[in-house]
Amino acid sequence: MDNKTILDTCPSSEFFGRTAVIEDICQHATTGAKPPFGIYLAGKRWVGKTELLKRIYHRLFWDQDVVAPIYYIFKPYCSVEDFIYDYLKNFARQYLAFIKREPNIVKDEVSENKLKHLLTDMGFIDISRFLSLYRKGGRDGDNITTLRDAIYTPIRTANNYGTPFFLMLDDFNLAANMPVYEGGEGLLSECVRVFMSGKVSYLATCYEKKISKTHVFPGSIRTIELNGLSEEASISLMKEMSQVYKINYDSEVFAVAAGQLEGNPAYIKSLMRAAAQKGIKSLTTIKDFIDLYVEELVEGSIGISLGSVIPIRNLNALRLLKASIDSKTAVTEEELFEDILCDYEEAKRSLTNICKLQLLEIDCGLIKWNGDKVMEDYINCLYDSRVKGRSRDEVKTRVALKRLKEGYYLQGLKVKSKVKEELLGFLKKFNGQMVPKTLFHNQDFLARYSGKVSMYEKEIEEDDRMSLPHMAGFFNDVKNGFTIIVGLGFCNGRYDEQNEVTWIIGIKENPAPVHIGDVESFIRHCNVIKSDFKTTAIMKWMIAKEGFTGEALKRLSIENIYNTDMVQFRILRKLIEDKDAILDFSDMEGLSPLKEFEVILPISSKAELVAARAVEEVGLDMGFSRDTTDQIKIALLEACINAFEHSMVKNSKVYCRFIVEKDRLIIKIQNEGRGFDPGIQSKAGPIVNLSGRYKRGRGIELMKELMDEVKFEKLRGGTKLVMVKHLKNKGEDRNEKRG
Amino acid sequence: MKKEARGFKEFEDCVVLYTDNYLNDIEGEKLEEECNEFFRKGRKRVIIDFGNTELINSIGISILVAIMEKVREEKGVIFFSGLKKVNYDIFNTLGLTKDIPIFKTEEEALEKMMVDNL
Repeated sequence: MDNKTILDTCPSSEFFGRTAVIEDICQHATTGAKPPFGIYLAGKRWVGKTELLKRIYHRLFWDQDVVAPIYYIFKPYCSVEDFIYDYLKNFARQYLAFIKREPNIVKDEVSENKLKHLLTDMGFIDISRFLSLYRKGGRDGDNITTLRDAIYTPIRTANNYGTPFFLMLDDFNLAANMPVYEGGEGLLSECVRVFMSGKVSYLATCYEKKISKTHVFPGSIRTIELNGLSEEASISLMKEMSQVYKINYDSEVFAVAAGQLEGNPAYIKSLMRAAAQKGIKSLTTIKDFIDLYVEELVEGSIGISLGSVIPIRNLNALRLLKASIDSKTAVTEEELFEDILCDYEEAKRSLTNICKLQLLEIDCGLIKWNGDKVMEDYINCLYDSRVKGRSRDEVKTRVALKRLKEGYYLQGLKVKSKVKEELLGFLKKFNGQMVPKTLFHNQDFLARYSGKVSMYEKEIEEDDRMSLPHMAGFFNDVKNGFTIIVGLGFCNGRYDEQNEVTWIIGIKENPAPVHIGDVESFIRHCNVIKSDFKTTAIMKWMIAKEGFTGEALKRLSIENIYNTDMVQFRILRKLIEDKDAILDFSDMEGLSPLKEFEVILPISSKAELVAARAVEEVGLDMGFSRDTTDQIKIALLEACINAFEHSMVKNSKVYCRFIVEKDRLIIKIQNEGRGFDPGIQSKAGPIVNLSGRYKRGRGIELMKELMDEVKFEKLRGGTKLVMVKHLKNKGEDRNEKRG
Repeated sequence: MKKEARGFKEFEDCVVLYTDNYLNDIEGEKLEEECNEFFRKGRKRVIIDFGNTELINSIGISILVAIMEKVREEKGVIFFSGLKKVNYDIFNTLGLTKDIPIFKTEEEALEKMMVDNL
């Protein structure tokens, strides 16, 4: 916490992605619009509204002197008098602190006597009088008139003093639940009447998109919807916390996690802290993340927090919530009550109670689930355990299964949507251009150009060329595992029946190389599509972000199916979009490998040395220093020995694949066997305390120490280990972790 | 399994042992057997020179730890010398450098051992 902090906020390192909205609100607060209008900030629970308001408060307190910031959070009050006292005391402190530039009046919570002296000195008699009146539990009399007077007092005070204030009302929806007098309207309507009269500039936060269903606001109002953090901001937050807690991570996994947690900063922070508390050192696979998530949801802090804000004890309430989640769309009351085993009145009562929890949105008689995905999982868990009577382990397994499937799908979808978007963008420009054939034949391309940093158009001019079609239009469809795009057009520049051509383009959705099974599946899809079109000319084309396996390439070649990886894809795009392009591979980071080698090892003594020699050649050739290359060799030795030890299949092999990218070396080691649990191995004690002889267990620690990234993936019938070493500048050894 | 005799030098009650190019489980066991042999002969001061060793794996390291423990039990002295940078770094990472003096060359290790014995 720095010395400019007045209200408690989280560390700046854990606050991401809200700069634009803070700027926007601060500008609104200080421009002094006439008449002043309000902002209604709607956002789901724990999305970061309070944190945002507190940061706006600090900005307005320190960076300007036009308007006094006042932050007030509504609470569940016992009485109207409680509210009046709390509200006025809070206003008085914050207003005085701003005018006198003394943050300690707020920070240190000055005593009431001192506060009253300060108020009297400044001439704020009204507020001082109210505080004295309500200090000991209020007074008898006309509540409603007094309340209105009390709420209006700060406005009068500010008008008299000449410094306006910007009022930030947090959790404003809580005011709705506080009746002012028996049978009368709630505190909310009184506040609406005064705050929103057009006499004060304010901001109010709520869970729902509507502040009130029954009131018309006298002043003008603007709505800002505060959603979860963007994917980029969520990943930054997770990375920052991973670095603090020394947790290995994978950005792609964090991207999936961001999607599943809907960018909710409270959930993200909670999970990262839980990972640190549990001593988790690695969040490099979707499974790592889901395991942690399920634990936290069912038995950890997320579950406890949700339990406190969603106190569901009634089974019918649980059934109603479950039904609203499962219905996916808005439904009528009758539809919702269909499967509830109780009479209408009881169901109605349950529904009313649930509505108070802000979990359902009711609009025009239609009811819709209004919670987030995590709450959805929480309700599903409660339902499974209390209504269905399932054991805790079964409940956890069901959530894990659902989220793993979704995570895997999301991971694939990210790749697909990016490639698909690009492809659709430049397919429109297919207009009979002549392009190098190699861009449609992956094997030829790799043989000819792999390892080159850049090449000029002229350099590939000598390659054989082929003509692209004149594309008339295209449409797409998602088949199992593929996005299929069908393009219809003409070839040879003649728009007649004989020259009609259909292009069927398959993009693999999952982030893995296209294998033989994918090719067979694509061929089947093509045959189905083919039968729908009368054209005889069918061109088939597969695009893969992660390249193709050797077997897949052979099959594609036999079937005359074009095949393009992402490097070829981007070159093609550049050629089409910019005729004079210099094809620079340096801006194609993260795409397909430029060079790949594979070493297949039998399981025998010292076979790992063969892999070590191979990686030595590769490493030095890439520009790694001798020391760094030695580090890679030792990490590879350990990886191979691990793979040997856990290959329990007779005559099995260990496959070492070296993928050379512009700025990194990726090593993939895969065995055939029962696999092993890296978590168990890495828990071994320090090597100096080993009691038994020849025990290993520090191999994984060594690998992690020597390489920049190490992750394990459990496969059916084996384990895959992926290690990465980065090389930023050729010849420059920047990755020495020691010395 | 009969262990092959390995290269070594003896100076008074001191012995210098040389490791192979790759210190793995098999080579480690041979080294340990040799050490034990010298302990039996009453040689309690040992220098292990890694000048020829390019690669050491984690099993090799755990055998070295076992040798260090044995020397301690025997109230002997053990020094390492000639470690390549990467191997030194690994020893350092695993905390072995705190427990054992490491010298750049065999000669430096020998000189120190002789001086200490005076």
